[in-house]
Amino acid sequence: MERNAGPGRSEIPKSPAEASFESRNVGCISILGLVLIYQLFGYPTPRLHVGASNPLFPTVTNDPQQRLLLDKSSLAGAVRRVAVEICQLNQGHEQIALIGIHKRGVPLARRLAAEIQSLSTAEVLVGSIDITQYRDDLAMMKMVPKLEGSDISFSIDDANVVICDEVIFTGRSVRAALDELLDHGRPARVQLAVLVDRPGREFPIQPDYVGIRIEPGPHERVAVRFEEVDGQDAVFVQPSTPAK
Amino acid sequence: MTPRKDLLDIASLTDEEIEFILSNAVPFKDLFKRSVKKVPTLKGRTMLTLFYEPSTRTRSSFEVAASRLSADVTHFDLDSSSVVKGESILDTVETLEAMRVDYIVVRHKQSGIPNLIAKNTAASVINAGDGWHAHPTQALLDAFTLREVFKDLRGARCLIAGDIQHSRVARSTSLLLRRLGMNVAYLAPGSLMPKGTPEEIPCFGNWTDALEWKPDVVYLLRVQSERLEEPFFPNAAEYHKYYGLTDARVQILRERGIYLMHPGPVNRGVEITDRGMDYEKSLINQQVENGIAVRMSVLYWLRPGAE
Amino acid sequence: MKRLYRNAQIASEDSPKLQTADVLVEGDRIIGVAASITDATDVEIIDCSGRVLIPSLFDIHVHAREPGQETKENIATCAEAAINGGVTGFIMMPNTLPAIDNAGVVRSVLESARGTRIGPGIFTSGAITKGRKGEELAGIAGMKNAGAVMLTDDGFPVDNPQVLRRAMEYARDFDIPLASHCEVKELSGKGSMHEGSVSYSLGLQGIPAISEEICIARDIRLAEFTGVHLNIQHVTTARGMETINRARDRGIRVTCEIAPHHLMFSHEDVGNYDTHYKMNPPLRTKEDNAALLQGLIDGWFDVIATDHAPHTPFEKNQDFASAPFGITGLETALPSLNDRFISKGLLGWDVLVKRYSAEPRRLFKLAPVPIVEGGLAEFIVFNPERYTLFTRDFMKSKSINTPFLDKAVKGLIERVIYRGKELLVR
Repeated sequence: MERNAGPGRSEIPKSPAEASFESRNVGCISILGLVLIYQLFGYPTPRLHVGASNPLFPTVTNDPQQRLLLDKSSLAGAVRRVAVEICQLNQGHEQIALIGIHKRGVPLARRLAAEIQSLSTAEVLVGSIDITQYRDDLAMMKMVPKLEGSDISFSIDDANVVICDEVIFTGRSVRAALDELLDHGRPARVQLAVLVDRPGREFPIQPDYVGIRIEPGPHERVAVRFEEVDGQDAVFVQPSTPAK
Repeated sequence: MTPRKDLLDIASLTDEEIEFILSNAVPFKDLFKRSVKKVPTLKGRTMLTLFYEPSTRTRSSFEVAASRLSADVTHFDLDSSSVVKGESILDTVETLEAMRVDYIVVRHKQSGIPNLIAKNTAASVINAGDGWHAHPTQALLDAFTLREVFKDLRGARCLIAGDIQHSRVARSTSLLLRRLGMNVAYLAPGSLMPKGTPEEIPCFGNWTDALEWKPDVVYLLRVQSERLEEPFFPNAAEYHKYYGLTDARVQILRERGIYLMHPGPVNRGVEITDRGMDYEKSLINQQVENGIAVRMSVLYWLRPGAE
Repeated sequence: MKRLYRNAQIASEDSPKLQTADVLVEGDRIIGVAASITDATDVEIIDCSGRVLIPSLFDIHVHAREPGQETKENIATCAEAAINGGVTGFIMMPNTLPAIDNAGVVRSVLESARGTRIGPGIFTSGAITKGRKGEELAGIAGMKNAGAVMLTDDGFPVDNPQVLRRAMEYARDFDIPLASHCEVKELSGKGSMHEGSVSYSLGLQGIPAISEEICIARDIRLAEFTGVHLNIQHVTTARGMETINRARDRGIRVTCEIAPHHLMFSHEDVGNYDTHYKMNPPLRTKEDNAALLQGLIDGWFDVIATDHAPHTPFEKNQDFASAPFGITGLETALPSLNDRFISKGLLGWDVLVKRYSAEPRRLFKLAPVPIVEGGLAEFIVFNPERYTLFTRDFMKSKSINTPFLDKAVKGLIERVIYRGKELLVR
């Protein structure tokens, strides 16, 4: 397959066969290899169109409406890809502070930290922030969320921070995270890493690092699962209001 | 957690709600270590304190809590307001309603006033102490403080000593601690021991028996001898000797590793001595600090207009 | 024109069993009571199958609030409330503004009463002391002459035993009963409900049972000493009731009242400061409820009396301690007694008739109104199966301070007949 001739940043996949690539169990090493090639040639991360009628995403769970996008090993590959990119773009920095947004940004930050530590000599710090109180829709929520609290055990003044979140969609969570971060201190630089980039931004915020770009249907949501939180590593697309 | 409109007492809280308030207070307390000790949670909301009984401490605690949640804070000045001119409480509430206040923090010497106000306003009402009835945020901060000390409250023993009869703190705190699995006992002169206390609360009339009950915590209550309307005990000195925490009793606490609490402000020389105030296992300052975190947690949970 | 109440179930004080009969009324009299009356002419037939005919009720403890507190009630509205509850006679309490403590006020309230639809059934009591202050004796002889039928400072006890003793000695010779609101004020303090587990948890100052019980004992001893006819109002505790019963056994002239709310509600009903459950003496414990009900069945209470005490919604919509004591009762008593006790077999119709119709009249030397041939036609047509919903519109009292507000109870008063006239039909 002509991987190198993948779609441009603003295009959708040209063929269903291409889209099927990420859905299959592809070996980690080959993905890493591909990513390196991407980085070398400045190609963007693959983008998947996953419309509801796409027959190429087989049903792999008990829920017929839920479709698997990444399984355990392809998720690990995507994480590694992001880690590599972070290493590359932070060369020369002695320290990288990964701050995960609750809830699933936190395992992402931890995994990225482990990968980066194996790839780089920089000091890697990990923290978490709970953006609940910075959300712009807090007063409109029917339920009051339980607070997890933020856990940043190091000073972020002059730190080189990478905010980690599992999915970027509207950009509102990242807006909240930035506001909260600035209440903790004054970092030297803030970047953003996400596992899944989904179009639909409502704020002028773009990620610096993306594991995978996907474009689900308007009534679908992307569900990222991490073993630490959910007991399983996977990325699904499912209806936005799960059937009960 | 589903938000509620008001916090009026401990009795109406579910176990889940209690846990929600207490566990959320932990991140709120962590906030105090940040450079900016403030979150935007209640930006644009207004909290008003309506204190018919003066209390600088509780009022300040609520005001700091609300400020740290970015709420605007104001207080209804009762000295100069028409309260003294015979305006009824419900008239006052109507005025506040017109001001579109979101949270009303009430203290009143009459039990049940916050319930009455809550029924007559869409604003969230928080009881900051009504008569002898309830002081729910005090109870919550006490429980929070004890949870910092004891990993598991179940089975721990708290002796509440002093003027139980006139104490909303005794009522609310004992209720909450028992809900959390603690054992609670009362110590008071018979004349200050209320009738109708729950059967599960042992009532002692002297320190010897009370200490034999082996408390892990002694919770002293303020005795306001100057405000008592009946002769409940002969004089403050005699009260101190027989029911106060004398230096000798502080020594017993020290030997047995018993923690000390007090809702403040203390009456030195009546329920406690200067040495008692310096007792190393005193949790009194911790209670004050935790008060802010717990009140933030309460404000975070309540929502004006909720069902 | 006659009226035939056909196929009715007749209640009497003599038997717990209802007697099925037709009742024929002409003018103000019952002219026939028989298993089947078929030969009457010029007759309106009222089918009463399933209905209970109850001799109309007489309430010896009613606050009509006139003069002075007409925003709560006046004699006219109170009379209409009474009719609405099947009560065609009552005795007014003298705690008005000014107090009914002299012949002039007695005449004036009786004048007012005469203008109502049950004028001849309305009586008044007079205060024991001037202004009910417990200091100087009120004009007892003058009030009696003007028509007062009982003396009481109701709402307050006469604190000073010497004043009470003199009042009793004086009243005895004028042959007028003296009724006591029993309470040791110092023990009640600023209490607003029964002292017990609920007052503890609500943080309200309590009114201990001993406050009432000690005063009952004192007043009985004084009654024994003076020989007056003493009526103990609104007894609420088992101990108080026993004290009265022992005194009666010793031959002391003492009678007593039980209020329906003290049988039905306990301090637990106060719940979250519901001022509709605030009255003095207060609601006691569930154990007291049970003991008092048994006492009523066993004949330890002479009369049921409601202590109908109207207050405006504005006054009741305050914090519990500040709200006034009292609940209304005239309109709710019969349906609620049926709902709570009679319909469940806990109380017989005979007890109801005896204690809420016959005995209260005898106590004041009035003739009872049994449903018998030749008797006064003064009875209620009561449907024990239909429900009464106590809405604002349903109630004729000016005030609605009752826990039954907007609640439904089993039993509906369909007709009230007073001296042959149907005052109420629904």
